[in-house]
Amino acid sequence: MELQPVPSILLVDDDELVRDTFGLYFSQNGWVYDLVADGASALSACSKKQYDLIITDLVMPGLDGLELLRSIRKIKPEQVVLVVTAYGGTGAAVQCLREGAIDIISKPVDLHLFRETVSRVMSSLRESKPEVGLYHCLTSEKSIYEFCSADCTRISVLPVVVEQLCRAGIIDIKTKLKIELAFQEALTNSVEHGNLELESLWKEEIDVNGVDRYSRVKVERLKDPKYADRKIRLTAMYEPGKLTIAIEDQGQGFKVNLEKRLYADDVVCHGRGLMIILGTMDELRYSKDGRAIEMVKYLNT
Amino acid sequence: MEYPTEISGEKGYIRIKGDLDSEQAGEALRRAFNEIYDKGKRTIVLDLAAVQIINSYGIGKVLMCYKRLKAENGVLMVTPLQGFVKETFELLMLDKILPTDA
Repeated sequence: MELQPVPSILLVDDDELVRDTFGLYFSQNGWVYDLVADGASALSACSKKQYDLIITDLVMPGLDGLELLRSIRKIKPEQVVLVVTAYGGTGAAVQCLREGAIDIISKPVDLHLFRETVSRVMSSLRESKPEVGLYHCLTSEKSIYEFCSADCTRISVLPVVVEQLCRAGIIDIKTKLKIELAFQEALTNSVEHGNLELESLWKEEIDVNGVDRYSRVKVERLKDPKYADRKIRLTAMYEPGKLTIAIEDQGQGFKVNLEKRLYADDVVCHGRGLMIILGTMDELRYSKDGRAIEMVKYLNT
Repeated sequence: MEYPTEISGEKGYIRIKGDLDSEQAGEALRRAFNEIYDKGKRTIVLDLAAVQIINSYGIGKVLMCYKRLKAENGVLMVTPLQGFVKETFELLMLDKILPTDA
């Protein structure tokens, strides 16, 4: 059975209750989403990330929905934008349609109608973006990234191929979340325990201000070129049925104990990263010196 | 990043917004927890309805809250436990030590 691509949505609304309500709805449907409170934040998000659909309130302080639509159309003319408003019959709402909004939905939102609209948008995108279908013809793809420790705190590092596989419907949102979680754990281990040489036990040493030693030393070492400039090499390899992600650091290395398990009454605030990787990926291998990890996820294609 | 808090009777509630997988999220949880803790509440409920991912960093922060409350015979609860977060909790057997608030 071919999986349907998961919608990736950006919601823009200055009303926190609206954002929370939509966020819960998106979450329950397994959709990928971001929530922002104003037009400026939406433009910033839109420039960094690809969204299938941007949903915006019309009346907002600062950059309103119509101005946001105009700004988005300048940088991404193909971007699909849906306007949600309590003022559906006004000149501004009609102007949004004239300037390229795919539809106007009235508040309070009829969720059935909303879901139909999203479904229609996704079907239309699938037809108009042949490169999404092209992923089903892909025989292999390899990406190699190299960055320094400090970069990991500034940029989103998840390999692009994971997002592409989800958008093409080759993996479902749950598999994407598992891969994302395992990847985050492995990258954190490589950066923090590898390159920055931070000790897990330091998380239990809390000072009078409630700050743990681990967090304190991490901040210091991210400013120290000796640690901060050490590199991380990330390799993501896709072939039909299999995704392999390898991460290599330049730390001192360590002896990995893949047999170690925590039990329900081991209430320590660290040490669960490896368990998460073992529980979410299908294969896990470490190099002898502990500086490189390779994770494999088998995909149902 | 701030998490809304609420007190109802003897319970304090923290509504986690977004994923619990970053330093910012961990700090926001710590601040929200301290806010309720400093008001004398020792039964605290974490609302995880809007959380899609919780990683070992977020779990570490949750367990710090758990340990602080347990030291004073308090209770940390979670609600709801659903989706991928539920799977992660079960994988790490955290569902055995963190009760669900009905």
